[in-house]
Amino acid sequence: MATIAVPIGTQAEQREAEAVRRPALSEYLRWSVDHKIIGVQYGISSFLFFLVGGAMAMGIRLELLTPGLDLMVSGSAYNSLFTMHGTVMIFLFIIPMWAAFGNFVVPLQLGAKDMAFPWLNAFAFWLIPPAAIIILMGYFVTPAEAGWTAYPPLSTLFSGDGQTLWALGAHLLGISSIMGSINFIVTILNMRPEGMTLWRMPLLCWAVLATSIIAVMATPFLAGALTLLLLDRVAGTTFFDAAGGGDVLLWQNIFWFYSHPAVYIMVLPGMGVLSEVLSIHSRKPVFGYRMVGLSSMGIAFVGFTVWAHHMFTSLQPELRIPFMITTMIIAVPTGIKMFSWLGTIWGGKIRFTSAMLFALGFLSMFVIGGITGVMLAALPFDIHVHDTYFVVSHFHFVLFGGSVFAIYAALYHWFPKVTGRMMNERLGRIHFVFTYFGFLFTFFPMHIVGMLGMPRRVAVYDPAFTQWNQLIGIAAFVLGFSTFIVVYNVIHSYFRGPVAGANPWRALTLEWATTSPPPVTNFIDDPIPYEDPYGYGTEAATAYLDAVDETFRNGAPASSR
Amino acid sequence: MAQLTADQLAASVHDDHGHMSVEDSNNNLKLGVWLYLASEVVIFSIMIVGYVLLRINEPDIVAEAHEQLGVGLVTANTFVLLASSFFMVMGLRAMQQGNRAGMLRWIGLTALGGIVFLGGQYIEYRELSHLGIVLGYDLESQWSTLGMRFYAPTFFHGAHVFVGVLWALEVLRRGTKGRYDHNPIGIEMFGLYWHFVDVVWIMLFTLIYLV
Amino acid sequence: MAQATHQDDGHHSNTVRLLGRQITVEGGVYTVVFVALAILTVIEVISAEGLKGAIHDFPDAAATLEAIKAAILLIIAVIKSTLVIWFYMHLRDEKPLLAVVLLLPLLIAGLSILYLLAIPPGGYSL
Repeated sequence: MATIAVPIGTQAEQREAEAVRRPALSEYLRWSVDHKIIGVQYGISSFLFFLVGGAMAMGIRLELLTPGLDLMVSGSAYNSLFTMHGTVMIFLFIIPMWAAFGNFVVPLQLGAKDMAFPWLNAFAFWLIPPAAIIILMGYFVTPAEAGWTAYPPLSTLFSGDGQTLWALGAHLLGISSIMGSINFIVTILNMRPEGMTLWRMPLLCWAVLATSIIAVMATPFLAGALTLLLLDRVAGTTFFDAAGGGDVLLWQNIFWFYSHPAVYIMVLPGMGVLSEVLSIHSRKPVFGYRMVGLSSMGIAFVGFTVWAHHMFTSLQPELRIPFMITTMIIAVPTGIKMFSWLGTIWGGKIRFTSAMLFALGFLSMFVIGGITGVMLAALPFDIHVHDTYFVVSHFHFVLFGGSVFAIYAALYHWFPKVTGRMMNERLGRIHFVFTYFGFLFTFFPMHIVGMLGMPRRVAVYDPAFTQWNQLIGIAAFVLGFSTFIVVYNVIHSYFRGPVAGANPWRALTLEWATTSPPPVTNFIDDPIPYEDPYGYGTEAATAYLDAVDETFRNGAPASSR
Repeated sequence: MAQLTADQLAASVHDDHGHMSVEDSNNNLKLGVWLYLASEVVIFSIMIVGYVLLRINEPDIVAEAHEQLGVGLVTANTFVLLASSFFMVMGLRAMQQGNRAGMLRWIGLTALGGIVFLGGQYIEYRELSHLGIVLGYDLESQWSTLGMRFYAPTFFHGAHVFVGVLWALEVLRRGTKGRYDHNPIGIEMFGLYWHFVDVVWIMLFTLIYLV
Repeated sequence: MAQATHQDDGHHSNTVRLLGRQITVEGGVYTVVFVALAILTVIEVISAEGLKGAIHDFPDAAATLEAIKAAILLIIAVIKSTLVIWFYMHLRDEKPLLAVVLLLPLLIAGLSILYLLAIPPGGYSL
């Protein structure tokens, strides 16, 4: 058998010296260029925004319990509520949340000591708080009412100053996202350790690479569009005002040039997480590794050719069919991933950890979101359900059933690495059950009310839909409640969780070949990656994992407490 | 398994804080700047497309504006910016040859070129506003659809030139302290930005003032 | 068109081979490129003004002449940009990766712009 290269220096004193020390909580509140600190900063701040956006969702469901206006004083108040809900969830929660996991995990998986540009990394993060303040401040002046898509003329002629602040904040977030992505691309392309070719890179890195390429190429579209929108709002131009020789559809086009690829920014890292979690927790190599990596790139590029399916009702009729076709084509790389995940867990030694449960939850929910996506791509059907709750249901299946489930899977999976403590598995399972069924009963009935004709973005609806909406509302409150279980679990486990050790899941990727939490420098020696990041089930892999365990037996946080 | 000597250990710990070889670091920085420029390509194309649409749909307005403005000033300005780009690359070349004084002279000229260009743009904007071509929409003006589509890309470019001038001054400040004597990557990064701004102007000049 | 005589010396040599002849000039290839850019700009302005006159003189062929003018000017502009990127931004010395980094957004932006240009002036009519 080949000699096993253990990725880290072996002397006991050395481990003692570099002993695992959890950063003090105050370090997370300060400027830091350590990618691990920044990752946690991203994670905690975006989770706070998840709670804010979630509270807004609760408000929306509360309003919709009855067909009339009761919680809201007017339709406008409701408009601004769902506008903020969408904005906060997309720009302040999901996108930065992936930056959290990307920041923490990617350099570790690459065996690097930090990101390529640590300072830029910190700067990109610290743009988020001011942007968030600007956007949320807008809610308390005259709030933005045009939805997160901010279509003119709603966003130009019919919205207050909050819309200007909204655009400014979104602009800052876009800049932050571009800077973060440049950092990821350079890190992944230039800083892999010797022996790790692109084709031996963990799939999360592939996913983050594809995501970052999209972000660098697509986010500037948003920046350009927002600049024009701001000019329209403050400088008296009429780029988007037909009465002044402008073009209303220009916004829709440019916005979706960005925002359709952005859908993949929001879900591709989740797909990377899924490949990691499913493989590790079912002890099997990823099925079709190359195709999974390539399909990430495929999604990234095809993603740029489908935007006009958001505009089927405002689009030049001749162009509808071509966009219908490209939209259906993009389901192919997604399908490849789906089958790869099924092939990965098929016949594996599945361990139903919380991380695995959420990954399986993703599988079952995302497939529904994907299928409704293909349904919506079909033009005749789309015209029928255009702007109804069917669409709302579809993208929540993708963004909650997809992204958020993947975020939870990633949280349970990497929490031990971040804090050195295990999460409570029992609470994790309870959390999963509440989230899974809460989610299912919140969003699945929306398909039905949508097909029955309930339009989205309304506070007052036909009383015929009352019972459906009450069912959805109650399920939504269960879903909202389930969030507190994980909040409690995180806080409880951070202080009282069992010590995790370096490699609690016995995983082969490099982030597990260092102490938990990793020292400031991540690795003491230059780490040597195992030849195949997912080569589970071989003798060599077992020997490697045993050697890692042996190396870190005494290096666990226990010795430093 | 490698047994580390104390020296090696010290070296590895010393090497910890993200310090990589100069060459690796330079490659990272260059790739980073190129990626940043890639995103700028997209923003500028959004800025330009509004103008191009107008040029296609209402050629008469554009032709009239060309007639009124003439091409002299903007051509002179173009030469200034092209020359400044040349000074820039000569400055980098000088530093690569180890000639710090030469570098400072060339980069100084680069900054000067940027300032002159901005002055020219200011004069041009003043002329245009005398003609009644302004940014905001004005129902009375025959130019109302042109103004915003002209000013948005050119002003956005001008803002980039302005940032470039500030960057050049910073390069000069650091250069006098000898920051680039051993590794001129800082100059090269600024150069990439400055040449990119020049390339954007080459396209803007052709698309807006000539076509 | 211009090539540094010695690869390692690309940034420094004052001698370049241009159209088969050795030329020695301060600044080497950079100076040659600058002169080329200046000449191309002059050609651009002259042909733009000249064709504008021609369009005025032959209103019958105006559409064709407009198209020819736009094509010529755009081709020259692309050549100029390529010169700057290739020589001044040192793309010729860099890894192909950087060319990809440049071409990808151009491709994507180009696709989207072409699409936007296809929107009819008065908006869509059903």
